[in-house]
Amino acid sequence: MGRLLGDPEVWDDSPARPRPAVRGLAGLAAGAVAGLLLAFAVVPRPDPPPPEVMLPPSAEAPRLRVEKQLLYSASIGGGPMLVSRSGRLEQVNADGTERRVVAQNLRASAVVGPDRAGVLAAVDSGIVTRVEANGTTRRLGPADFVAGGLAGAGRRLLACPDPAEQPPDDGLLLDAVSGRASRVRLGCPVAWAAHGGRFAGTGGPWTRLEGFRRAAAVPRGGSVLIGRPGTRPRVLLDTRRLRAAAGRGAVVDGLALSPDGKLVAVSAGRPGRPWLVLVVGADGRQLASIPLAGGHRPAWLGWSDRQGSTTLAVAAVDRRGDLATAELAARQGTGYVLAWQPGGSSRVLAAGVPMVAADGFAWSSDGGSVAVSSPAGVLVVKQADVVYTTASPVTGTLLAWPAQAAP
Amino acid sequence: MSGTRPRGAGDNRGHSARGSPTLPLRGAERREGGFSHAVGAPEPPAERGRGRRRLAVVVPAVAVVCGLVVGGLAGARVVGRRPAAAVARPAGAAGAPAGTVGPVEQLRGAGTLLFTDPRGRAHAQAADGRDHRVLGQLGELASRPAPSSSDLEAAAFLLASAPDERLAELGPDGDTVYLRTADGAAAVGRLVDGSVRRLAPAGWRSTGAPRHSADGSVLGVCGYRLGGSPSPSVAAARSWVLDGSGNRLATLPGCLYDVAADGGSALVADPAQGRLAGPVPAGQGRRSPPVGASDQLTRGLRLWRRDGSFRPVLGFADVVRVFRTVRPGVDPRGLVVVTAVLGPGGRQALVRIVDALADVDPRTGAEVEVLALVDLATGRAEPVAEHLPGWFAFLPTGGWAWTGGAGTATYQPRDRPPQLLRSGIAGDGVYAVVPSPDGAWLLLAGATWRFIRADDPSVQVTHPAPGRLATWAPAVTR
Repeated sequence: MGRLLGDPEVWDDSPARPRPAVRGLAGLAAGAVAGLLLAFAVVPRPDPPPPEVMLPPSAEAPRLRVEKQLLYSASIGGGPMLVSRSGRLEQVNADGTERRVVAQNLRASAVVGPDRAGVLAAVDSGIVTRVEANGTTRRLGPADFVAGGLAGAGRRLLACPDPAEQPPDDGLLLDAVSGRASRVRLGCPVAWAAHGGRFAGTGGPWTRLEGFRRAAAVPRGGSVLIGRPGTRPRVLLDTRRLRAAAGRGAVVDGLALSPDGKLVAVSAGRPGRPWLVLVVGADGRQLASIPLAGGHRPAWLGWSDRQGSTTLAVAAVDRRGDLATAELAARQGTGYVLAWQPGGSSRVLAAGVPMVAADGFAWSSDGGSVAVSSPAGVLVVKQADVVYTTASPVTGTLLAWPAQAAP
Repeated sequence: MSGTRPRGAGDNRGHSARGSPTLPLRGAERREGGFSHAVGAPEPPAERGRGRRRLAVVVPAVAVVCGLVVGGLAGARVVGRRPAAAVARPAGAAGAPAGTVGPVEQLRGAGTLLFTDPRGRAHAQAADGRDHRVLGQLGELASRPAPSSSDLEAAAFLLASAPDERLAELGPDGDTVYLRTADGAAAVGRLVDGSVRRLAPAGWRSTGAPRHSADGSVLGVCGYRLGGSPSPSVAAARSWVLDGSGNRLATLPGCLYDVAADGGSALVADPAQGRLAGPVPAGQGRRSPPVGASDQLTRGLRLWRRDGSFRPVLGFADVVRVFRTVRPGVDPRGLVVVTAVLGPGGRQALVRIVDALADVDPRTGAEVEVLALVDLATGRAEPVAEHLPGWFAFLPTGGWAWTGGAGTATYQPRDRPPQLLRSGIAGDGVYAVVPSPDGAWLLLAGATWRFIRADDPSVQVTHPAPGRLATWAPAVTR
C-alpha cells in the first residue's frame, strides 16, 4: 500500500485495489450457488420410477437326481441304449456319452440286435427292416406283410402281423441274412428266448375287443403257443387254463420268454377287469400269478439275462378311464415296475412320477439295471443288493439296451 | 536523472515510457509502479487504474451470470434426474427365519406352525416365520431317547405304528398337547399348567400319541398288553374313545388308528377279520427280534360311528390282494395292518400293511410292506406302489403325499398324474410330511423345513428347522 510522506501511519484514504480476478471468482461462485438454488426451486421433478421387485431366480420343477457314479456303473454293465429319437435310430451310453445315429429316417417301434457284425432288425411303420452297420436299410419279408411286432435272436426273427391288415395269426419266421420267410400260425404278441432257441406267440381263439385302441376293436388271442424254428408250435396255455387263471373272457396282451426259454410270462386279462401276469414253465406248469393294481395293465414284460439268475420285470401302467386307449407317451397316469424272481422275492423298482407317460422299457444286457424312458427323460434303476435310482441325460424312446454297440 | 538509471525506476517508476499512462500496468511493471499520485504524475490519479476498476466490475458481473448458468444447469440436472429405482422387499420377507431361501412371502396367511424344542418348550410362529412366541413348557416334550427297538417294542410295532415320526401334536388352542409319555402311555398335556393326563388305564401301554378330532373333542387311544414266552407278543389290544374331558365314549376290541376330523367316526381294527385270518404265527427272526404269535393284531378295518354302529371298510382278502401286487408269493398269515389314516371327509384312508413274518433286510430283500389307498365306501383297496414307503399324509384337498425308498417325496393330486416334490430327501432327515391347513402347501419336516407349493412344486421355501414340528394349524387361538 502506498503512503504519503509525513502523514501519520494510521491515515490511509487510498481506494481498495479492484482485484477483478478475485471478484470474478467470487461472482462465479455466488452465481453458481444462486443458479443451483434457483434450479432446485423451479425445475420440475420427474415422476418417481416404479419400484423394482426382486424376483426369485426362475425355479425349476424338482427333478430326479443324476447320480453320475451309478450311471457310469450302469454304462459299463449295459452297453449303449438303442433309442428312437426324432425319426432316427440312435445309440447312446446310459450316461449320455457317445451318442451316434445308427440309421436315419427310421421310426423303429421294435428292434432285434445288433449282432456282432453290427446288423440289426427293426420294425418301422409295419415294415420289417434290416439295418446294416453303415446305416443302410433293406426290407425283409414279403411286400404285403405289415408287422405288428418283432422278436428274435441272432439272424432268426419272428414277426407277428398287424391284425388290422391281415389275419391275426399269420406270423412270419424270417432269416435276417437271406431274407427268407416262412409262415407260422402265431399272432401278436410274440417273444423269443435270447439263448434258448425258443419262441412263443399268441394263438386263437381271436376276439375283437375295445379298450386297447381309440375307437377301434382289435383282435386279441386267447392262448399261448411255444415252438422252435423248424417245428410246429404247440399250445402252452390253452384258453380254458388262461381264463381259469385270469378270469372270464381273458385274452393275452403281452409275452416274454426267459433267456433260457424255460419260463414264459403272459399278461392276461380284459379291459375293464383286473389284469395279471402268469408265469408258466415251458412244460406248461403254472409257477406264479402276479396280480396287478386295479385298473393297471402291463405295458412291458421282460426277463433279465443275468448270469445264474433271472428276474422278470413287469411294467404296469394305469389304464383307467381315458387312459385305456391313450398312447404310452401321451398317457398322463402313473404306474410301477415290479421285479419278480422265480424264488418268490419281488421289489418295486420304479413308481410314481417316472412312470408318467413312460413309453420305453429295457433290461440292461447284464441284467443288473432296468431303464424306463418317458418324454421327461430316462430313469435307470440298478438292482444290486439295494435298489439304486438315477435319472439319465438320455432322451428318446428306449427300444433296447444291448450288450454291444453297432460298429 | 541519470541516463544510467533503469527505465521506469526512481520516483516515477510508475510512469512507463513505453505505454499509455491510462492503460493499466501489467505484471511486474504494475507491481513496480508504486503509488502514482504521490509522485505528481501528469494525469489525475482518478484516471490511473480505471481499466482495472472497470474490469473489477465487469468480470464479477460476467462471472455471476456464468455461475448462474452453470449452477442452474447443474441444479436442473440433479433435480431432474430420475432417482434409482427402489428395490422393493417382498412383504413378509422381513420377519423370515435366518437362512430362508425362496419366496417366503407366499407363505403369508398359510397358518401357524407349532413346534417343540429339546427343552420341552412349545413354540408357535406364522408359516412365513413371523410372530414367533413361546406357548409354554412341558417336561414330557423334552428330548428323550427315541422309542426303544427292544423286543417288546418290536411286538408292539406289529400292532400300530405312526404315519410319521412327530413326537407330539399340539392343538390349535396352543395349550393341548397330544403325546406319548416316556413310559409308553398315550396322554394329553396342558401347557398352561404343565399337567399331563394319561388316557390309557393302568397296566396298558400305547403305541403312540392319542388320535383326535380337529377340535380335540373326541380322542382315540390304542392300548396293548404284552405277554408270551419266550418271545414277547401282543396279548391284548384294546381301544378307548373319549371325549375332550376324558370321559369314555366307547371301549373297543383291537387297535384304534384314527379319529375323523369331525369326531363322528374312528377307524379301528375289525375283530371279525382277525378271526377270519387267524392268529399271526410267531416270527423266528434272524434279522429282526423274535415275536410271539398273536391273535390281537389287525387283519382288517372297520369304521366305528359315534352312534355305536360299525361298518366294515377293509377286509382281510383285500389286504392280501393288495400285498400280492408287490409280493405275489407272500404268506397271508403274516399280513397285518399297522397304520391307517382317514382322508378328508372320511371317504378314503391310507393304510400301511406289513408282513410280520418277513425276515429280510427291507433294503436288500423283498418288499415287506405296502401302502394302500382304501375307498371307505366300497372297501376297495389299491396299492400306492413304492419301494420302502415312508411317511405319508392326506391333503385337505383330497390328494395325498408320501416319501419313498428312492429318496423321493411324491404328491398325488386327485385325478391328476403324480408330481415329484423332492428327490434326495434322505439328506434332509425328513420325519414327517405335513400339509398346510388349506392344502396349498406341503411341509417336509426334517433338519431343514422345506415348504412346497402343492400345485407348483417348483416353488419351494426352505429354512433351518427351528424345532421339532408338531402341528400346522390354521391359527392359534390362545
